[in-house]
Amino acid sequence: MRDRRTRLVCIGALFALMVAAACGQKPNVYKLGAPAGAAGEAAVGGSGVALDSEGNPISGSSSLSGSGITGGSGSTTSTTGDGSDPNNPGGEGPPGQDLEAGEPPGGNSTGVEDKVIRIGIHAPITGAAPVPAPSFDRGKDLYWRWLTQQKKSIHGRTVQVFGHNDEFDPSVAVQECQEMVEDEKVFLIIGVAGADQIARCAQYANQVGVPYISAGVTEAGVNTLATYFAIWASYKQQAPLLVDYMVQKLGARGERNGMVYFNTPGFLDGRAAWEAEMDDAGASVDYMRAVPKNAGQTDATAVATDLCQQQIKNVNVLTSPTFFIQLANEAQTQCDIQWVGVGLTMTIDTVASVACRNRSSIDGARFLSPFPAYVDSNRFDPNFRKAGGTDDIMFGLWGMSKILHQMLLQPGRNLTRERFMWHVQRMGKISTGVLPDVQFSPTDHFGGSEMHLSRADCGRNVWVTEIPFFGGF
Amino acid sequence: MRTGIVTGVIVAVIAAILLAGQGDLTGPAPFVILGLTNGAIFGLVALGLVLVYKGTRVFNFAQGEFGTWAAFFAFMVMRDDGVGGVGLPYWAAVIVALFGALLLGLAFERIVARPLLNAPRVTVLVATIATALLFIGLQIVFFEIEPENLRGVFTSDNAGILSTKRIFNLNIDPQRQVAIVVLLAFGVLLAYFFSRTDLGLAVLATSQDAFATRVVGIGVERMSRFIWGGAALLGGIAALIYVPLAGLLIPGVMTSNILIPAFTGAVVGGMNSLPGAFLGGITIGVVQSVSLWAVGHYHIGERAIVEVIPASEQISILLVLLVILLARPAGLLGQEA
Repeated sequence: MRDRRTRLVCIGALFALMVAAACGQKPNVYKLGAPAGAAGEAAVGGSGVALDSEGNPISGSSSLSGSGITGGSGSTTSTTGDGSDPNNPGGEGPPGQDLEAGEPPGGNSTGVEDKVIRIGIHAPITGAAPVPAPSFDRGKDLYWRWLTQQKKSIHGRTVQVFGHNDEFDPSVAVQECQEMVEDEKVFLIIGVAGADQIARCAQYANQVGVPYISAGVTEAGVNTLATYFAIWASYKQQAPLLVDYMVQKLGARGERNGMVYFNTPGFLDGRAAWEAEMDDAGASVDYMRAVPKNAGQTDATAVATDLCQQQIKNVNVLTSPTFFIQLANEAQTQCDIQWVGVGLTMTIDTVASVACRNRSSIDGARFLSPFPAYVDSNRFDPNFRKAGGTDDIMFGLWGMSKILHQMLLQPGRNLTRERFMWHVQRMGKISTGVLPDVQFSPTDHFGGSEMHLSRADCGRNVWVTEIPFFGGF
Repeated sequence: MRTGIVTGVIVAVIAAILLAGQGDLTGPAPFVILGLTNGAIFGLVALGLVLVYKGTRVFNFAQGEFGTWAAFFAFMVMRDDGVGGVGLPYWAAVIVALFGALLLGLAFERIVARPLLNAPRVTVLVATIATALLFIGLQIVFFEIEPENLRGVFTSDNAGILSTKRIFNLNIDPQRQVAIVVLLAFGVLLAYFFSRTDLGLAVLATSQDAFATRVVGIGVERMSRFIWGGAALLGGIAALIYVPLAGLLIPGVMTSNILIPAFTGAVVGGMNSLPGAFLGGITIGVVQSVSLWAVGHYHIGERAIVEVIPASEQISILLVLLVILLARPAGLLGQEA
């Protein structure tokens, strides 16, 4: 009896301590105790969006700061499905539609229904470079919900987004993409972050003929894929911009420079391109260090010590944000290093917030970023905050959705995978005012050339946009 | 006698590396110092592992997570940014965190370990793995994956006798010095406890034969509580020292970053030897750190070893482990059962 009471008291005290520790720690934690319906909002999964069913095709310049974008053709041809989608068995379009030379008349319309276009999106919600789950959950269809509120649609269709966690693991990413294609019957897939996951998933998507809209990461393994479209500059394309900034603004030509990168195939072209650009610019590369993808604090300590011992001044970091935070934290106790780099996940405010509180260890770091800093978002698109956007992950997803919106408009009502890709390759420059302009061609699916340049501001614990739409000096 | 010899050999090897690397700014000397401080953390966690092993003959895979919880408790008690937290000073947070860790250890003992007191040891081992995973899962639910940070004992270099020191061209900040001091203190305390006190002997007796211990009037349950509570407390102390050094607090941080090297250190030192845990932790810290230096500096062809052989520094640690266990299966200071 006494034992039972002791056990109950023990469990009760422990639970109270855990709840006390967690209470208010994160937004939405309180919902854990709420009915399932209340918490459902934050769950990863499909979220239907009821757009205006009559929506006329939106012209590229009506609500977006586009240039050279025209609205959809408004074609009313029906589509040809692959038979796998019971709601869209497919069929030939009616005679008489106006097709450009070589334009596919139909094709595979899986994921396209009368009122809805289903798309899939994957990102690392867990793992070494996690995207915060609440931001991803809310951000993945923020733009499409805002579009609904504006009474706009994509030729009468809404967009339904299925979010998946790829766990920062390429094998998991392929499984998730397979699920999106086979079970959720999505029209296309978007890869938000993570070079290796994106490469593997894009290869799978190419095998099954599904368009893959990607963050600009590696070109290795994806540069020959017909269905792959990178909507901002790849690591390789960002290298000349980064080197230009390092040489012109940081004085890299007269200093010792180095690079620390994850030893993974997805980062090798980024490393090679940076080395080659440094060489061309007459700047030396005095330190080159690979670290394993699962590197932890001990590796960070050793690499930071090595950098300081060798008096490296400018360091290009191509790793996960968590490793970068640890590396910068360790280096801060030894020497001053100017951190620079390319990519996407380094420039989220969480990284700045944590690293800045570690003795301002990344103050003044410069990284290229596909989207402007969140604190500057109103300068680039005031609608984002009006729509309920509250952080930089959402802002990035908002920017990606704006580009995708323009892509989806091009084929008109007759939306098939073949027609989508055909039009995307020929639609000219896509300009949204958030992400840098991008333009594809039948032979080039890496259409980015500019990036935003962000600077870590440890006075405010955030990233700020130092040079928007940076294309070199 | 053996302790002295082994300690002497390790000290001699470390001294040789330091002397050989003197004057070479790119040599291994700073990494030896770094390894000593990292090894202090490994040693502290290894002490907790050995304490449980000595008392219960169980490998405790939940050891790291007792510590991670303590770090989260401290973080929430100190936090005061309008989002949550209590906003209490550092030392209050330390007390609450260690109390929380102690409570977790006692709860684990009561709910998991004691009902399994007479179960096969492998059953208890699996239970500790399950508990570690449960703890990490709960941390993800409550705190998410988003990293946070935890301040150290000193917020500036104004730490008196422990202020930043420059040794072999390496800055040793106060937090690292605290790690070494705490490890030394606990190593001595626990060695004294197990060799000179009645309670320590009772714990050892319980681990060797619980039934016989009960017959002579020693409360086995009390011993069990002491062991698990003490282990959790050691885990908490290790986390409060380590997490500020790591610069980020995330769910499972002590398991993912510290548990494996600490285990290796405990095995190298001898699973039933507290001084062994101390020396094993230090040995693994130095081997790991010097390996990290070596794989970046030596090349195979035109490429550094680390580029050709992924995780080569981890391989080198396992090689050291293998060599030591082949030479002494019970570990450096361990005794055959």
